[in-house]
Amino acid sequence: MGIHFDEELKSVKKDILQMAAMVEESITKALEALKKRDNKMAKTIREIDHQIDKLEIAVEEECIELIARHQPVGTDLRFLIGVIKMNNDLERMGDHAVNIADCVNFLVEQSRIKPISNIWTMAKIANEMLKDSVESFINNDAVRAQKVCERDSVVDEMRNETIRILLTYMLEEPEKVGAAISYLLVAKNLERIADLSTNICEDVIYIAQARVIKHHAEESER
Amino acid sequence: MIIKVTNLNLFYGKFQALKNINLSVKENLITGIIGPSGCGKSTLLRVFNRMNDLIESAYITGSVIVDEEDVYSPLCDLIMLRKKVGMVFQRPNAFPLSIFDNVAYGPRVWSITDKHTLSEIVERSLKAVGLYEEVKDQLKRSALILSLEQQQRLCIARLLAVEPEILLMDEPCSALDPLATGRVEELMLNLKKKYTIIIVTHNMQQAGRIADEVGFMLLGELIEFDRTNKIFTNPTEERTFNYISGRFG
Repeated sequence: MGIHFDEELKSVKKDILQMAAMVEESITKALEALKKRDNKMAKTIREIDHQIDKLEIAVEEECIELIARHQPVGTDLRFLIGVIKMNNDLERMGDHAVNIADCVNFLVEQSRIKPISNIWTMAKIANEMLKDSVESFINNDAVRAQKVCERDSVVDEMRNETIRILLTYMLEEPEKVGAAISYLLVAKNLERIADLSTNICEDVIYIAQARVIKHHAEESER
Repeated sequence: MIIKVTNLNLFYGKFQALKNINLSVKENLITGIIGPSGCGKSTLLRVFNRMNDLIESAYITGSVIVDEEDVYSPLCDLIMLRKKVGMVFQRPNAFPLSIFDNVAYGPRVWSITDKHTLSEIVERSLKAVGLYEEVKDQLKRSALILSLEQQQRLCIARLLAVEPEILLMDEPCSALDPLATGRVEELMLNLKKKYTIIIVTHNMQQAGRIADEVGFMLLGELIEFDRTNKIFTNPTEERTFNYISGRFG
């Protein structure tokens, strides 16, 4: 193992970053569609998702092949295991972008409800969390990754608050239940995107420091 | 702790082959020693049963305690030590004797002459290495007719016949093909229930597969010693990582 293996690891990194860029684009477009109530964007988002799915399979195959052929150890092994998990998380994020686009399709046929600022704040935080998780992966930066994880509870709290607000709307104006449910689903998908960014950051911490922080594993070991 | 090495230095004349080694080997585990050629792995292994005594210019400082006994003390009974700490080599060194006599050799040295007892020991030892069924009808034939893998098993059976506590294995699979290697590894995993095994290996994957703890040596120093899982997923020392990932060595 040597220069060739290092080149192959770089190629895996390049591919997973391309996938992250496509996921970011897909989520940005889905949120733009939501803001503009534009139901024509869904097709583009589906096309991107199709590319993401293909790339997911390619990255997974690359990682499996490298593990089988080189039996990597130490940081090399942790990197490949981390990428396999990130790959899966990114693909799921792409699906959530599609889900949001589907909500827009439904939403444009519904009567409008009062704007819910929480949705936009959640979208902003979830988007930043994704960007920061990818940045922390690029720089192998466990400190930054840890900070992203800490923001997940903010998004969870906002989702709960959004559900309360939307429930009130539904009770006050039952004819707007359809629109309210669409926003509720958007909130749920945004919360999942934030969760998956947290997962990526947990993988970054594992790759960089061999620490498992998910499910508070370190605390329960003490 | 069955072996405790403290501040061990070993010299061949003016050349220092082992430098300030500190190491504890736990009972009923497989301990792997890895490192590039000439790093002192085999020298360290040979310290545990004083095989290095055979080299005239070799001398040590520091202490090596095996089963609570200082093996370099003048009071140490070398014959007893080598009975307790047996050794298997790279190439199987079956004696040009019958299969039976190979295994019975050690017990005979220990003055066991009763035929029935010897037969029992031979059968038990061959069974322990999974060779009995294959050779039970040809115990009087020369051991040299056996395949290399069978000969290596026979050599291990020959050790077990004198009831050792520790088995030292110096690249025991390097002359074997992958299938035979797999079977000898299985044997080691079975044997560790009763014995403590220390294996020197060039084959990193082998250390990963069978060792519970691994020590990495470089230029006579023990660079890192830890649980196998730790060494292979998150070694503390960069030199360990560079070696096990094939970046040097």
